[in-house]
Amino acid sequence: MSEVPLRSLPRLSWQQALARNRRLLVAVTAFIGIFVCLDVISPGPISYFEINFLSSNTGPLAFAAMGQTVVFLIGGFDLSCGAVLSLVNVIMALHTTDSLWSQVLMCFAGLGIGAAVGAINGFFIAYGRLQPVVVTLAVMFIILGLNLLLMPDPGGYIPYGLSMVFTGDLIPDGFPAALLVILLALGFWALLKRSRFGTALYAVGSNEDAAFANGINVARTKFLGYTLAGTFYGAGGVFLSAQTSSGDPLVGSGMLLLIFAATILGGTRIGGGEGGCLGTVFAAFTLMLISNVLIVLNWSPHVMPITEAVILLLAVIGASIGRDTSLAEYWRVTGLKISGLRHRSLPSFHTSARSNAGKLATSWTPRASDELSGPALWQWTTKNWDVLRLMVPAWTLLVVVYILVVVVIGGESVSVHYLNSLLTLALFLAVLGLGQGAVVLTGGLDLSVPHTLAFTGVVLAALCNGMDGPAYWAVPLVLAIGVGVGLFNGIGVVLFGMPAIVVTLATNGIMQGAGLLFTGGIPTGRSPPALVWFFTERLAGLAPAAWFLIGFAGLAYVVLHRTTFGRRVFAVGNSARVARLSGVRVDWTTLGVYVLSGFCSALAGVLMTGFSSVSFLNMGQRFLLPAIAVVLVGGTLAIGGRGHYLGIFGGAVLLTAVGTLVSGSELHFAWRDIIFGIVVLGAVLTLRERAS
Amino acid sequence: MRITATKRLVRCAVAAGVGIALAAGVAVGKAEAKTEDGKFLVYYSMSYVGNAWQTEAKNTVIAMAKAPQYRDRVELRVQASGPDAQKQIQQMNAMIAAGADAIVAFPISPTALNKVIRNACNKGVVVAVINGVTEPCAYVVKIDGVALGDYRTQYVIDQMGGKGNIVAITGVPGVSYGEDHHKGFKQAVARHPEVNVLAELVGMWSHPEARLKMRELLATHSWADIDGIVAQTGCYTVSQMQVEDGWWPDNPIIPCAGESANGNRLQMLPVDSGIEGALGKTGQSIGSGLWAVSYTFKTAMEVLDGNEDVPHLRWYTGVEVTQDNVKLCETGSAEEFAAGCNTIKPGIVPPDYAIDFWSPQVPELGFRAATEGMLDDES
Repeated sequence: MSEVPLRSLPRLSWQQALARNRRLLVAVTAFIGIFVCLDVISPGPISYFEINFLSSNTGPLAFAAMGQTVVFLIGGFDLSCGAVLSLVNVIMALHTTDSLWSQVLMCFAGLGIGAAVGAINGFFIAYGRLQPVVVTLAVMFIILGLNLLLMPDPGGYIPYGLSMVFTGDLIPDGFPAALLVILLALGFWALLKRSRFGTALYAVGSNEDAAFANGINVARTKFLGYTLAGTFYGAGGVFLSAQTSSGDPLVGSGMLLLIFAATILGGTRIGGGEGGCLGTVFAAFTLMLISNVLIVLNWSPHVMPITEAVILLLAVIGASIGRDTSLAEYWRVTGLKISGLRHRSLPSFHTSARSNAGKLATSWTPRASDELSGPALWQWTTKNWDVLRLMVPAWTLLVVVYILVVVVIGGESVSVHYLNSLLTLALFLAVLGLGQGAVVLTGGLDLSVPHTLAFTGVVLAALCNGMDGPAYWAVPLVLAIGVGVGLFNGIGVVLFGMPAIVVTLATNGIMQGAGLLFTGGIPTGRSPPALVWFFTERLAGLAPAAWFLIGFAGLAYVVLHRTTFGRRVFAVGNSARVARLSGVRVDWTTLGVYVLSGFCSALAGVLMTGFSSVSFLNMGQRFLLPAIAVVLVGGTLAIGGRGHYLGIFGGAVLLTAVGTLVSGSELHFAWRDIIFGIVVLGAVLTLRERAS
Repeated sequence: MRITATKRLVRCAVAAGVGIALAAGVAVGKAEAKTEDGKFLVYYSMSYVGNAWQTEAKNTVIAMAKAPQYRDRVELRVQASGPDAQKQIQQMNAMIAAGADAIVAFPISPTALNKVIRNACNKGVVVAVINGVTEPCAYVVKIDGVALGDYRTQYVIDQMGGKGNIVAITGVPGVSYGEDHHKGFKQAVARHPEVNVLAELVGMWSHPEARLKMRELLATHSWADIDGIVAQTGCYTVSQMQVEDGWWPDNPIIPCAGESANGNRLQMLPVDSGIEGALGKTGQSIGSGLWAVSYTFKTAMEVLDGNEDVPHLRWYTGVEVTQDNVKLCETGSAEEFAAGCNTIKPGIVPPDYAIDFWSPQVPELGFRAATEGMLDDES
C-alpha cells in the first residue's frame, strides 16, 4: 500500500457508526432476538436440519426482497415482483428436463426472464418517465394473466439435481447449500454496492438532482436498477422452483406483502437512499421464524394477522427511534407552544370586514379573453386543457371499450339497463377511488382498504340482521369506524412519520384480525332491506345506487376541486415543504386524506353489504388493486399533486366496462388481467408529461 | 469510508456467524415426540383464515378431536399460515420440530408442499392432506373434481332438456380442484352439441364475486338468455338475484347445480312450506366436501393407531341434495342428519354456510360441530 490516499475521511466514532447503521442493527437484533426467543421457548434445541430447512425456505423470499430493496433504494416501488416469481417458476417447471445442460440453461433463463421483466419496468420508468407504481401494477396484471395462460393449474416438474443444488447440504450435517447461495448473493451485493454503479444507486435514491449535478446518468442508473431487481426476482423464482420442485401459477402472488414486509423490516427506506440487502436477508429470516414462534405459542389462528401487523409496526418504530423522529419533533413543538402560552398576547377577535361588504362579488359571466379567439367552446377547452387532458384517456378508452361491447356482444348493450348495470357496478370503485385518489394526491397509498371495507360490512350486517331499524345508528356507527381507521393511519403517518405503505399494511392486518375476532370466523346477519332496495329498485330507469353515484361524483368533485381542503391536498402533493411555508397545515391535511379514505372504505363496505345482501370477510380483497388502477388511469400522478376526480370517475366506469366486455364475451378469463394491465399502461402513457 | 464499510461487513458477518453458531451449538437430536401427558400431538395446518368455509372446517376438526374414541388420546392444535405457500411450508416444518405425531393440512398449493411432506414422512410424522398434494407418502383425501364437474353439468343439461345456453361460474384460476371441475364441465358440454356456453365467469369460490361477475354478464344479457348454471360456488346468489330482479316468480328459477350452501338448499324447499327463502326451485347441491376435512383427521388417526392398510389416496364423493330429497332439520343433531335431513332453518346460519359437515364417514358431527367446534352432547 504505497499509494497515498488523496483525502482520508475522518474515522467515525462508535456512536456515529451506530447511528449510521441503526436500521441494519434493528434488523439484525430482531433476527437474533426471535432466534434466541425461539430456542428458549421451544421444547427441544434447534437442530441443523431446521437451520437447513429454514435457509432453503427463506431463499425465495430473501432473493425477491433483495430485488425490492434495490428498487426501494432508487426511490421506486415494485408491485410486479410476486408475479415475476411465479412466471419464472412456471416456465422452469414446464421446460426443464433431466439433462445437466437443460438444468443449467434454465437457471440462466430464469435469471434472464427476471431481468427482462425488470428491464421493461425500468424502460418505462427511467426513459418513459412513468411512475413506478403504475408501470409495475400494469406489468403485474399482464404477467398474472400470462402465468395462467402458460400453466392453467399447478404441475410441471423440476429435476432432483437442480433442487439439491439449492436446498441440499454443502457439508452434510454442517452447512446448508441454501445458505451458501444466499451468502454468495450477499457477497455479490457487497461488491456491487462498493462499485461505481452501487454508489450511483444510492446517490439517485438520496437526491436525484444532486446525483444528476454530480454527473451521474440518472435514467441509466434507474434502468439498470430495475433490471438488477428483476434479476434478483429471477433468482428468487429459480430458487422457488428448486425448493418446491414444481410449478404453481399463483405461488408468487401470496408473497407480495411478505416481500414488502421483509424489505421494510430490513431497514431500507421507502423513498430511497438508505438501507441495503444485508438487513433485508436478516428480515426475511425473521419473518419466516415468526411462524415457528407462533406454533410454539399456540395462539388462535384468528390472532395471526394482528400479530404480524404489530411486529411490522414495532420493527419500523424501532428502526426510527431517536431524536430526529417526527414524534420527538411534535413533542418539542407542543412543549414550545405550551411554554409560549404565558408570553402570548390575547387573541384579537376580528369583526367581519364590513367595509368590503358588497364590493367583492363574484362575477359569473365569463370574462372575454383578449388572447384567445374562436368559438366559446374552443376557448374554454384551450383554457382548461391542462385539466382536461387528465381525463381524456380514460373517457376515450371508455368509448372504445363500449363500442367493442356493442360490436362483440351486442345483446342488451344499447339500453338504459346497460347504463344502470355499468353505474351500479362502478359505484364501489368510484367511492374507493375518491379516498384512494385523495391519498395518492398527497403522495401516499392506502393499503388498508380491503379489510376496513370487509370489517364495516360484517359489523353492519351483524348489527342490522335484516332489519331497517338498527340501520339508523348502525350505518353512522360503521362509517365512524371507517373514520377511526383513517385517523389511526393518519396518526401513524403524520405523528410517527412512518411510511404510508407500512402503516396501512399493518392496519389492514389489524382489521382482518378484528373481523375474524368479531365474527368468530363466520359472519352472520343480513343487510338492512333499505340497502338492498338501493340496488334493486328502479327510479326513472336507474337504480337508486346509480343516482347516488351521480350525486357522489358531483360531491367528490366539489370536495377535491372546490374546497379549501381540496386545494390543500393538491398543495401538499405538489410539495409538502412549499405547502408548509405557504401556511398550509400539512399534518392536518394529511390526516384529513387518510380519514377521507377510511370513510370511503367504510362507505364502500356499507354499499357492498347492500349489494350482496350479506357480508363476507373476504369481500374487500378484490377492490384494492383495481381501485389503485382507477386512480392512476384517471390521470392522478402517483407521486401526488396532479389529478382530477372526473378522471378517476371515468377510470372506474372504464374498468367496469372492461369487466362487462370480458364477462359477456367468450374471452379466456386470463385476458381480463392482461387487458387491465394494457389499459392502465396505455392510459398512463398518453398522460405522460412531455420531457422538458 | 472504505475502512468502515469493510468493518461493517465484518461486523455483520460476525452477527450472522453468531446466529449460525447458536444454531449449530444446540444441534442435538430431539427427544421422542409426544405431548407431556402421553397424548398424540396432532396439528391442523389451515391456509387461509377469512372465509366461513375455512372456519367451519377448523371447527369440525376441533369437534372431531373431542369424539369419545379420540378425546383422551389426542391433543389437537390449530395454526393458520395465510395465503403464502412459503409460510405454510415453514409452519409445517415448525410443527415437525415441535414434535408433531401427525399433521392434517389444507394445502395452499398441491405441489409446493411436497418437500416438507417428504421430510415429515422421513421423520415418521403422519401427514394427511385434504384435496391433494402430489407427494405419494402423504395420505390424501380427495374429491374427483373432473367427475364432479361433469356430474353437475350433466344434471343441469338434463334439466335444460339437452339444449340452450349454459353459464359456468368457476373457482380461483390456477387452483387444481377448480381447473379439474371446469374440465369436467367442458367434457359434459362437449357431449351435447346443442348446448352453448354463454359465459365462463371467474367466481373465486366467493358469493360476492359470483354476484359481481353475474351482474357484469347481465349488463349485456338478460335472465331469459340463460337456461342453466353450473357454479362451483354461487347457486344461492344467482337464484337470489333472480328474485331481486323480479324474474321469479313469473318464471321458474333457472336450474343451477353447485355448492352445499344452506341458502341454496333452502331455496329448493317448496314455497308453500312457509320457510323464509324457499323458492321451490329445481337445483342440485353437492358439497365439495366440508366433512372430508374431519375425515382426513380420522384418516391420520387410523394411521397413528397402527392401521397399515390405510390407502394413500382416498377418493370421496359429496352427498347429493336436490329438490326431491331436500329436508329441513329440527335441531341439527348428528342423529337427525343420519336420518336424512340436510338443511338448517334460516336465520341460524348465514345463507352461504356450507352444510355438508355430516356424512356417513363422520357420523359424530352435527350442526354444533361446524358452528362451535363441539359435539352434540357437549355442554
